Amino acid sequence: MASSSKTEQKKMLILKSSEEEEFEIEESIAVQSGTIKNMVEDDFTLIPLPNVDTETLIKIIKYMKKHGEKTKSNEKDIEEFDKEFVKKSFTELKELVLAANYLHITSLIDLLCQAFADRIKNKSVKAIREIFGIPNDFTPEEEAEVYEQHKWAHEEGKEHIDHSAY
Amino acid sequence: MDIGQEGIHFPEEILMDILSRLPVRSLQRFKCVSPSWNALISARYFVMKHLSRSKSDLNSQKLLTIRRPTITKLEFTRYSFSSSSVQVIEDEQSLYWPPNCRPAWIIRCCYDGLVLISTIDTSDQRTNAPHLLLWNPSTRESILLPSRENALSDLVFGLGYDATSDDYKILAADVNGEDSLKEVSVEIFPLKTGSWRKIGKYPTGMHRVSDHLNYGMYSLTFIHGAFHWVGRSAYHTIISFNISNEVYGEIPLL
Repeated sequence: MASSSKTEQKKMLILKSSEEEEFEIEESIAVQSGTIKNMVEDDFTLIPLPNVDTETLIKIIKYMKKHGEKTKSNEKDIEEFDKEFVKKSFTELKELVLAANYLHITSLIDLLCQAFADRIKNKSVKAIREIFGIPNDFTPEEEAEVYEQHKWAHEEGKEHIDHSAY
Repeated sequence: MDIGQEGIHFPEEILMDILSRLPVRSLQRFKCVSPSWNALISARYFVMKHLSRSKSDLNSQKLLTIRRPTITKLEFTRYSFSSSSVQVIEDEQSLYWPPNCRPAWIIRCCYDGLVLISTIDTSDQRTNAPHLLLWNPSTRESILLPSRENALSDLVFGLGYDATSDDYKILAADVNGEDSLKEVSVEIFPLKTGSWRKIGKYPTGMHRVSDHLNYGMYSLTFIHGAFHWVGRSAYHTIISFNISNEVYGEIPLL
Protein backbone atom coordinates (compact mmCIF):
# COMPACT_ATOMS: atom_id res chain seq x y z
CA MET A 1 0.00 0.00 0.00
CA ALA A 2 1.36 3.43 -0.87
CA SER A 3 2.12 5.59 2.11
CA SER A 4 1.26 8.94 0.62
CA SER A 5 0.75 12.02 2.78
CA LYS A 6 -2.39 11.98 4.87
CA THR A 7 -4.17 14.66 2.86
CA GLU A 8 -3.62 12.66 -0.34
CA GLN A 9 -4.60 9.25 1.01
CA LYS A 10 -7.23 7.58 -1.09
CA LYS A 11 -8.89 4.41 0.05
CA MET A 12 -7.70 1.44 -2.01
CA LEU A 13 -9.37 -1.88 -2.64
CA ILE A 14 -8.02 -5.16 -3.92
CA LEU A 15 -9.96 -7.00 -6.59
CA LYS A 16 -9.20 -10.68 -6.98
CA SER A 17 -9.92 -12.51 -10.23
CA SER A 18 -11.14 -16.09 -10.53
CA GLU A 19 -7.51 -17.08 -11.17
CA GLU A 20 -6.54 -15.55 -7.83
CA GLU A 21 -4.64 -12.59 -9.29
CA GLU A 22 -4.95 -9.37 -7.32
CA PHE A 23 -5.36 -5.82 -8.57
CA GLU A 24 -5.26 -2.64 -6.55
CA ILE A 25 -7.79 0.05 -7.39
CA GLU A 26 -9.09 3.25 -5.80
CA GLU A 27 -12.38 2.70 -4.00
CA SER A 28 -13.88 5.83 -5.58
CA ILE A 29 -13.34 4.30 -9.01
CA ALA A 30 -14.32 0.74 -8.13
CA VAL A 31 -17.74 1.75 -6.82
CA GLN A 32 -18.90 2.36 -10.37
CA SER A 33 -19.69 -1.31 -9.95
CA GLY A 34 -22.88 -1.74 -7.93
CA THR A 35 -21.73 -5.16 -6.74
CA ILE A 36 -18.43 -3.82 -5.41
CA LYS A 37 -20.19 -0.84 -3.84
CA ASN A 38 -22.41 -3.21 -1.84
CA MET A 39 -19.41 -5.16 -0.63
CA VAL A 40 -17.59 -1.99 0.38
CA GLU A 41 -20.62 -0.97 2.42
CA ASP A 42 -20.26 -4.31 4.20
CA ASP A 43 -16.66 -3.33 5.00
CA PHE A 44 -14.82 -5.51 2.50
CA THR A 45 -11.50 -4.23 1.17
CA LEU A 46 -10.47 -7.46 -0.53
CA ILE A 47 -13.10 -8.20 -3.12
CA PRO A 48 -13.07 -11.73 -4.55
CA LEU A 49 -14.62 -11.95 -8.02
CA PRO A 50 -14.84 -15.68 -8.77
CA ASN A 51 -16.92 -15.04 -11.89
CA VAL A 52 -14.40 -12.81 -13.63
CA ASP A 53 -11.16 -14.10 -15.14
CA THR A 54 -7.94 -12.07 -15.09
CA GLU A 55 -7.98 -10.96 -18.70
CA THR A 56 -11.54 -9.67 -18.44
CA LEU A 57 -10.91 -8.02 -15.08
CA ILE A 58 -7.97 -6.08 -16.50
CA LYS A 59 -10.20 -4.69 -19.25
CA ILE A 60 -12.93 -3.79 -16.81
CA ILE A 61 -10.52 -1.98 -14.52
CA LYS A 62 -9.25 -0.06 -17.53
CA TYR A 63 -12.85 0.95 -18.35
CA MET A 64 -13.65 2.02 -14.82
CA LYS A 65 -10.44 4.02 -14.53
CA LYS A 66 -11.19 5.89 -17.75
CA HIS A 67 -14.79 6.57 -16.76
CA GLY A 68 -13.76 7.44 -13.25
CA GLU A 69 -11.92 10.47 -14.53
CA LYS A 70 -14.87 11.80 -16.51
CA THR A 71 -15.18 15.57 -16.52
CA LYS A 72 -17.09 18.04 -18.65
CA SER A 73 -14.11 18.62 -20.90
CA ASN A 74 -13.05 15.09 -21.78
CA GLU A 75 -16.37 13.76 -23.09
CA LYS A 76 -15.05 13.43 -26.62
CA ASP A 77 -12.01 11.60 -25.32
CA ILE A 78 -14.15 9.10 -23.44
CA GLU A 79 -16.34 8.58 -26.49
CA GLU A 80 -13.23 7.68 -28.48
CA PHE A 81 -12.13 5.32 -25.73
CA ASP A 82 -15.54 3.59 -25.73
CA LYS A 83 -15.45 3.21 -29.51
CA GLU A 84 -12.07 1.52 -29.37
CA PHE A 85 -13.00 -0.49 -26.28
CA VAL A 86 -15.69 -2.43 -28.10
CA LYS A 87 -13.51 -3.34 -31.05
CA LYS A 88 -13.07 -6.88 -29.80
CA SER A 89 -14.08 -10.36 -30.87
CA PHE A 90 -17.54 -11.63 -30.02
CA THR A 91 -16.02 -14.04 -27.51
CA GLU A 92 -14.28 -11.21 -25.67
CA LEU A 93 -17.42 -9.05 -25.78
CA LYS A 94 -19.40 -11.92 -24.33
CA GLU A 95 -17.01 -12.37 -21.42
CA LEU A 96 -17.11 -8.62 -20.83
CA VAL A 97 -20.88 -8.29 -20.84
CA LEU A 98 -21.30 -11.24 -18.48
CA ALA A 99 -18.75 -9.70 -16.12
CA ALA A 100 -20.27 -6.21 -16.42
CA ASN A 101 -23.68 -7.72 -15.65
CA TYR A 102 -22.32 -9.57 -12.61
CA LEU A 103 -20.57 -6.40 -11.44
CA HIS A 104 -23.60 -4.17 -12.14
CA ILE A 105 -21.72 -1.52 -14.12
CA THR A 106 -24.70 0.02 -15.89
CA SER A 107 -22.87 2.24 -18.37
CA LEU A 108 -20.66 -0.65 -19.45
CA ILE A 109 -23.60 -3.03 -19.88
CA ASP A 110 -25.25 -0.36 -22.03
CA LEU A 111 -22.13 0.16 -24.14
CA LEU A 112 -21.56 -3.56 -24.70
CA CYS A 113 -25.19 -4.40 -25.51
CA GLN A 114 -25.31 -1.57 -28.03
CA ALA A 115 -22.05 -2.79 -29.60
CA PHE A 116 -23.52 -6.28 -29.91
CA ALA A 117 -26.71 -4.94 -31.45
CA ASP A 118 -24.83 -2.80 -33.97
CA ARG A 119 -22.68 -5.71 -35.03
CA ILE A 120 -25.33 -8.38 -35.33
CA LYS A 121 -28.21 -6.53 -36.93
CA ASN A 122 -27.32 -7.46 -40.51
CA LYS A 123 -26.09 -10.94 -39.74
CA SER A 124 -27.63 -14.02 -41.30
CA VAL A 125 -29.61 -16.45 -39.15
CA LYS A 126 -26.82 -19.04 -39.43
CA ALA A 127 -24.19 -16.53 -38.33
CA ILE A 128 -26.31 -15.63 -35.30
CA ARG A 129 -26.52 -19.28 -34.26
CA GLU A 130 -22.73 -19.56 -34.43
CA ILE A 131 -22.08 -16.35 -32.54
CA PHE A 132 -24.48 -17.19 -29.72
CA GLY A 133 -23.82 -20.92 -29.72
CA ILE A 134 -27.45 -21.80 -30.41
CA PRO A 135 -28.37 -25.16 -31.89
CA ASN A 136 -31.15 -25.12 -34.45
CA ASP A 137 -34.03 -26.92 -32.70
CA PHE A 138 -36.49 -26.20 -35.46
CA THR A 139 -37.69 -28.97 -37.70
CA PRO A 140 -37.33 -27.96 -41.36
CA GLU A 141 -41.11 -27.53 -41.60
CA GLU A 142 -41.30 -25.33 -38.51
CA GLU A 143 -38.46 -23.16 -39.71
CA ALA A 144 -40.03 -22.80 -43.14
CA GLU A 145 -43.26 -21.68 -41.51
CA VAL A 146 -41.59 -19.00 -39.42
CA TYR A 147 -39.64 -17.90 -42.49
CA GLU A 148 -42.85 -17.55 -44.55
CA GLN A 149 -44.51 -15.41 -41.89
CA HIS A 150 -41.85 -12.75 -42.26
CA LYS A 151 -40.65 -13.49 -45.74
CA TRP A 152 -40.21 -9.82 -46.63
CA ALA A 153 -37.69 -9.36 -43.85
CA HIS A 154 -35.54 -12.13 -45.29
CA GLU A 155 -35.99 -11.41 -48.97
CA GLU A 156 -35.86 -7.66 -49.26
CA GLY A 157 -32.37 -6.28 -49.14
CA LYS A 158 -30.83 -9.72 -48.80
CA GLU A 159 -27.75 -8.54 -50.60
CA HIS A 160 -26.91 -6.65 -47.41
CA ILE A 161 -26.99 -9.70 -45.18
CA ASP A 162 -23.67 -10.53 -43.57
CA HIS A 163 -22.90 -14.25 -43.27
CA SER A 164 -19.72 -14.07 -41.26
CA ALA A 165 -19.73 -15.05 -37.61
CA TYR A 166 -17.11 -12.46 -36.67
CA MET B 1 -18.98 -26.27 -37.09
CA ASP B 2 -17.29 -24.26 -34.42
CA ILE B 3 -19.68 -23.27 -31.69
CA GLY B 4 -16.56 -22.12 -29.90
CA GLN B 5 -18.24 -20.37 -27.05
CA GLU B 6 -18.93 -23.59 -25.21
CA GLY B 7 -21.11 -23.22 -22.19
CA ILE B 8 -21.26 -19.45 -22.33
CA HIS B 9 -24.89 -18.92 -21.79
CA PHE B 10 -26.33 -15.44 -22.07
CA PRO B 11 -28.71 -14.61 -19.24
CA GLU B 12 -32.08 -13.84 -20.77
CA GLU B 13 -32.11 -10.23 -19.55
CA ILE B 14 -28.89 -9.48 -21.44
CA LEU B 15 -30.15 -11.17 -24.58
CA MET B 16 -33.36 -9.13 -24.33
CA ASP B 17 -31.36 -5.95 -23.80
CA ILE B 18 -29.36 -6.59 -26.98
CA LEU B 19 -32.37 -7.63 -29.03
CA SER B 20 -34.43 -4.66 -27.90
CA ARG B 21 -31.94 -2.40 -29.66
CA LEU B 22 -32.36 -4.08 -33.04
CA PRO B 23 -34.47 -2.79 -35.93
CA VAL B 24 -37.75 -4.65 -36.55
CA ARG B 25 -36.55 -6.21 -39.78
CA SER B 26 -33.60 -7.93 -38.02
CA LEU B 27 -35.90 -9.19 -35.28
CA GLN B 28 -38.34 -10.68 -37.76
CA ARG B 29 -35.47 -12.57 -39.37
CA PHE B 30 -34.03 -13.72 -36.05
CA LYS B 31 -37.27 -15.46 -35.17
CA CYS B 32 -35.85 -18.21 -37.38
CA VAL B 33 -32.79 -18.68 -35.17
CA SER B 34 -34.47 -21.11 -32.80
CA PRO B 35 -37.84 -21.82 -31.15
CA SER B 36 -36.73 -20.06 -27.97
CA TRP B 37 -35.67 -16.92 -29.86
CA ASN B 38 -38.97 -17.05 -31.75
CA ALA B 39 -40.85 -17.18 -28.45
CA LEU B 40 -38.76 -14.43 -26.88
CA ILE B 41 -39.09 -12.00 -29.78
CA SER B 42 -42.82 -12.65 -30.13
CA ALA B 43 -43.52 -12.26 -26.41
CA ARG B 44 -45.64 -9.28 -25.48
CA TYR B 45 -43.23 -8.23 -22.76
CA PHE B 46 -40.41 -8.03 -25.27
CA VAL B 47 -42.51 -6.17 -27.84
CA MET B 48 -43.40 -3.51 -25.26
CA LYS B 49 -39.76 -3.24 -24.16
CA HIS B 50 -38.69 -2.74 -27.75
CA LEU B 51 -41.41 -0.15 -28.32
CA SER B 52 -40.50 1.77 -25.20
CA ARG B 53 -36.85 1.90 -26.25
CA SER B 54 -37.76 3.05 -29.77
CA LYS B 55 -40.00 5.78 -28.42
CA SER B 56 -37.26 7.25 -26.29
CA ASP B 57 -34.61 7.06 -29.00
CA LEU B 58 -34.55 10.43 -30.69
CA ASN B 59 -32.62 8.99 -33.58
CA SER B 60 -35.24 6.46 -34.51
CA GLN B 61 -38.20 8.69 -35.30
CA LYS B 62 -40.10 7.80 -38.43
CA LEU B 63 -42.35 9.70 -40.79
CA LEU B 64 -44.87 8.17 -43.14
CA THR B 65 -46.13 10.14 -46.11
CA ILE B 66 -48.73 9.25 -48.67
CA ARG B 67 -48.88 10.71 -52.13
CA ARG B 68 -51.46 10.29 -54.86
CA PRO B 69 -49.81 11.15 -58.17
CA THR B 70 -52.73 9.82 -60.18
CA ILE B 71 -56.27 8.81 -59.26
CA THR B 72 -55.45 5.15 -59.16
CA LYS B 73 -51.95 5.29 -57.74
CA LEU B 74 -50.87 5.75 -54.17
CA GLU B 75 -47.33 6.04 -52.93
CA PHE B 76 -46.21 5.54 -49.38
CA THR B 77 -42.78 6.61 -48.32
CA ARG B 78 -41.18 6.05 -44.96
CA TYR B 79 -38.54 8.42 -43.73
CA SER B 80 -36.34 8.14 -40.74
CA PHE B 81 -35.10 11.31 -39.18
CA SER B 82 -32.58 12.14 -36.55
CA SER B 83 -31.34 15.49 -35.38
CA SER B 84 -28.95 15.70 -38.29
CA SER B 85 -30.68 14.23 -41.32
CA VAL B 86 -33.78 12.91 -42.99
CA GLN B 87 -33.45 9.73 -44.97
CA VAL B 88 -35.81 7.66 -47.02
CA ILE B 89 -35.91 4.17 -45.62
CA GLU B 90 -38.61 2.62 -47.68
CA ASP B 91 -40.12 3.62 -50.94
CA GLU B 92 -43.52 2.63 -52.26
CA GLN B 93 -43.78 0.04 -49.63
CA SER B 94 -45.91 -2.88 -50.56
CA LEU B 95 -48.83 -3.28 -48.30
CA TYR B 96 -50.85 -6.42 -48.49
CA TRP B 97 -54.15 -5.12 -49.74
CA PRO B 98 -57.26 -6.81 -48.39
CA PRO B 99 -59.12 -8.45 -51.25
CA ASN B 100 -61.27 -6.06 -53.31
CA CYS B 101 -59.64 -3.06 -51.79
CA ARG B 102 -58.48 -0.32 -54.05
CA PRO B 103 -56.72 2.88 -53.25
CA ALA B 104 -58.57 5.89 -51.99
CA TRP B 105 -56.57 5.75 -48.85
CA ILE B 106 -56.62 8.32 -46.12
CA ILE B 107 -54.49 8.17 -43.04
CA ARG B 108 -56.87 8.76 -40.15
CA CYS B 109 -54.62 8.66 -37.12
CA CYS B 110 -51.55 6.96 -35.76
CA TYR B 111 -50.00 5.97 -32.45
CA ASP B 112 -47.08 3.83 -31.30
CA GLY B 113 -46.10 3.07 -34.86
CA LEU B 114 -49.60 1.90 -35.83
CA VAL B 115 -51.56 3.69 -38.54
CA LEU B 116 -55.33 3.68 -39.06
CA ILE B 117 -56.30 3.98 -42.69
CA SER B 118 -59.64 4.15 -44.39
CA THR B 119 -60.04 2.87 -47.90
CA ILE B 120 -62.92 2.72 -50.34
CA ASP B 121 -63.77 -0.26 -52.40
CA THR B 122 -64.01 1.52 -55.71
CA SER B 123 -64.17 -1.69 -57.68
CA ASP B 124 -67.74 -2.31 -56.62
CA GLN B 125 -69.90 0.62 -57.74
CA ARG B 126 -72.92 -0.58 -55.86
CA THR B 127 -71.62 -0.81 -52.37
CA ASN B 128 -68.62 1.53 -52.32
CA ALA B 129 -68.00 -0.07 -48.99
CA PRO B 130 -65.48 1.76 -46.90
CA HIS B 131 -62.91 -0.27 -45.04
CA LEU B 132 -60.87 0.53 -42.03
CA LEU B 133 -57.41 -0.94 -41.83
CA LEU B 134 -55.04 -0.91 -38.89
CA TRP B 135 -51.53 -1.11 -40.27
CA ASN B 136 -48.10 -1.56 -38.76
CA PRO B 137 -45.62 -0.28 -41.39
CA SER B 138 -42.64 -1.62 -39.42
CA THR B 139 -43.80 -5.22 -39.35
CA ARG B 140 -45.95 -5.04 -42.51
CA GLU B 141 -48.89 -6.53 -40.65
CA SER B 142 -52.42 -5.24 -40.99
CA ILE B 143 -55.88 -6.01 -39.68
CA LEU B 144 -59.12 -5.24 -41.43
CA LEU B 145 -61.60 -3.80 -38.95
CA PRO B 146 -65.28 -4.70 -39.03
CA SER B 147 -67.26 -2.27 -41.12
CA ARG B 148 -69.02 0.74 -39.69
CA GLU B 149 -72.55 2.01 -40.13
CA ASN B 150 -71.83 5.73 -40.20
CA ALA B 151 -70.35 7.16 -43.33
CA LEU B 152 -66.67 7.27 -42.67
CA SER B 153 -66.47 10.86 -43.89
CA ASP B 154 -68.43 11.98 -40.83
CA LEU B 155 -66.08 10.29 -38.45
CA VAL B 156 -62.91 11.50 -36.84
CA PHE B 157 -60.77 8.79 -35.29
CA GLY B 158 -58.27 8.53 -32.48
CA LEU B 159 -55.93 5.69 -31.54
CA GLY B 160 -54.46 5.20 -28.10
CA TYR B 161 -53.13 2.69 -25.60
CA ASP B 162 -54.92 1.72 -22.40
CA ALA B 163 -52.39 0.59 -19.80
CA THR B 164 -55.12 -0.69 -17.48
CA SER B 165 -56.32 -3.32 -19.89
CA ASP B 166 -53.05 -3.49 -21.86
CA ASP B 167 -54.94 -2.89 -25.07
CA TYR B 168 -55.00 -0.49 -27.98
CA LYS B 169 -58.33 1.21 -28.59
CA ILE B 170 -59.78 3.24 -31.44
CA LEU B 171 -62.34 5.95 -30.79
CA ALA B 172 -64.67 7.22 -33.51
CA ALA B 173 -66.69 10.41 -33.08
CA ASP B 174 -68.92 11.85 -35.80
CA VAL B 175 -67.75 15.41 -35.22
CA ASN B 176 -68.09 16.07 -38.91
CA GLY B 177 -71.77 15.18 -38.97
CA GLU B 178 -74.15 17.35 -40.95
CA ASP B 179 -76.72 18.13 -38.30
CA SER B 180 -75.02 20.42 -35.83
CA LEU B 181 -77.79 19.97 -33.25
CA LYS B 182 -77.82 16.19 -33.26
CA GLU B 183 -75.82 14.66 -30.45
CA VAL B 184 -72.31 13.53 -31.30
CA SER B 185 -72.19 9.76 -31.48
CA VAL B 186 -69.07 8.14 -30.08
CA GLU B 187 -67.97 4.54 -30.44
CA ILE B 188 -65.00 2.63 -29.16
CA PHE B 189 -63.14 -0.32 -30.65
CA PRO B 190 -60.85 -2.16 -28.22
CA LEU B 191 -58.57 -4.39 -30.27
CA LYS B 192 -58.92 -7.27 -27.84
CA THR B 193 -62.70 -7.43 -28.22
CA GLY B 194 -62.65 -6.96 -31.97
CA SER B 195 -65.95 -5.09 -32.10
CA TRP B 196 -67.37 -1.57 -31.90
CA ARG B 197 -69.34 -0.46 -28.86
CA LYS B 198 -71.41 2.68 -28.55
CA ILE B 199 -70.55 5.12 -25.76
CA GLY B 200 -73.48 6.86 -24.13
CA LYS B 201 -73.82 9.95 -21.95
CA TYR B 202 -72.17 12.51 -24.18
CA PRO B 203 -71.68 15.74 -22.19
CA THR B 204 -75.01 17.54 -22.17
CA GLY B 205 -75.30 20.71 -24.15
CA MET B 206 -72.14 20.06 -26.10
CA HIS B 207 -72.36 20.50 -29.84
CA ARG B 208 -70.11 20.16 -32.81
CA VAL B 209 -67.95 23.02 -33.96
CA SER B 210 -68.44 24.03 -37.54
CA ASP B 211 -65.79 22.58 -39.76
CA HIS B 212 -63.64 20.52 -37.42
CA LEU B 213 -60.65 20.93 -39.74
CA ASN B 214 -60.43 24.57 -38.74
CA TYR B 215 -59.61 23.25 -35.30
CA GLY B 216 -56.94 20.92 -36.60
CA MET B 217 -59.12 17.92 -35.83
CA TYR B 218 -57.85 15.52 -38.44
CA SER B 219 -57.78 12.99 -35.65
CA LEU B 220 -58.70 12.84 -31.98
CA THR B 221 -55.64 13.78 -30.00
CA PHE B 222 -54.56 11.12 -27.52
CA ILE B 223 -52.60 12.44 -24.58
CA HIS B 224 -52.43 11.74 -20.83
CA GLY B 225 -54.52 8.63 -21.30
CA ALA B 226 -57.47 10.42 -22.89
CA PHE B 227 -58.80 11.38 -26.30
CA HIS B 228 -59.49 15.07 -26.84
CA TRP B 229 -61.49 17.10 -29.31
CA VAL B 230 -63.19 20.48 -29.49
CA GLY B 231 -66.86 21.05 -28.82
CA ARG B 232 -69.05 24.09 -28.29
CA SER B 233 -71.72 25.06 -25.83
CA ALA B 234 -71.80 28.57 -24.50
CA TYR B 235 -68.13 28.76 -25.36
CA HIS B 236 -65.60 26.49 -26.97
CA THR B 237 -64.59 23.55 -24.84
CA ILE B 238 -62.11 20.75 -25.07
CA ILE B 239 -63.86 17.48 -24.46
CA SER B 240 -61.80 14.66 -23.09
CA PHE B 241 -62.60 10.96 -22.94
CA ASN B 242 -60.55 8.73 -20.66
CA ILE B 243 -59.49 5.54 -22.43
CA SER B 244 -59.49 3.38 -19.29
CA ASN B 245 -62.53 4.37 -17.26
CA GLU B 246 -64.43 5.89 -20.23
CA VAL B 247 -65.30 9.04 -18.31
CA TYR B 248 -65.85 12.35 -20.09
CA GLY B 249 -64.20 15.57 -18.99
CA GLU B 250 -64.42 19.18 -20.11
CA ILE B 251 -61.86 21.93 -20.33
CA PRO B 252 -63.57 25.21 -21.14
CA LEU B 253 -61.58 27.58 -23.29
CA LEU B 254 -62.51 30.85 -21.74
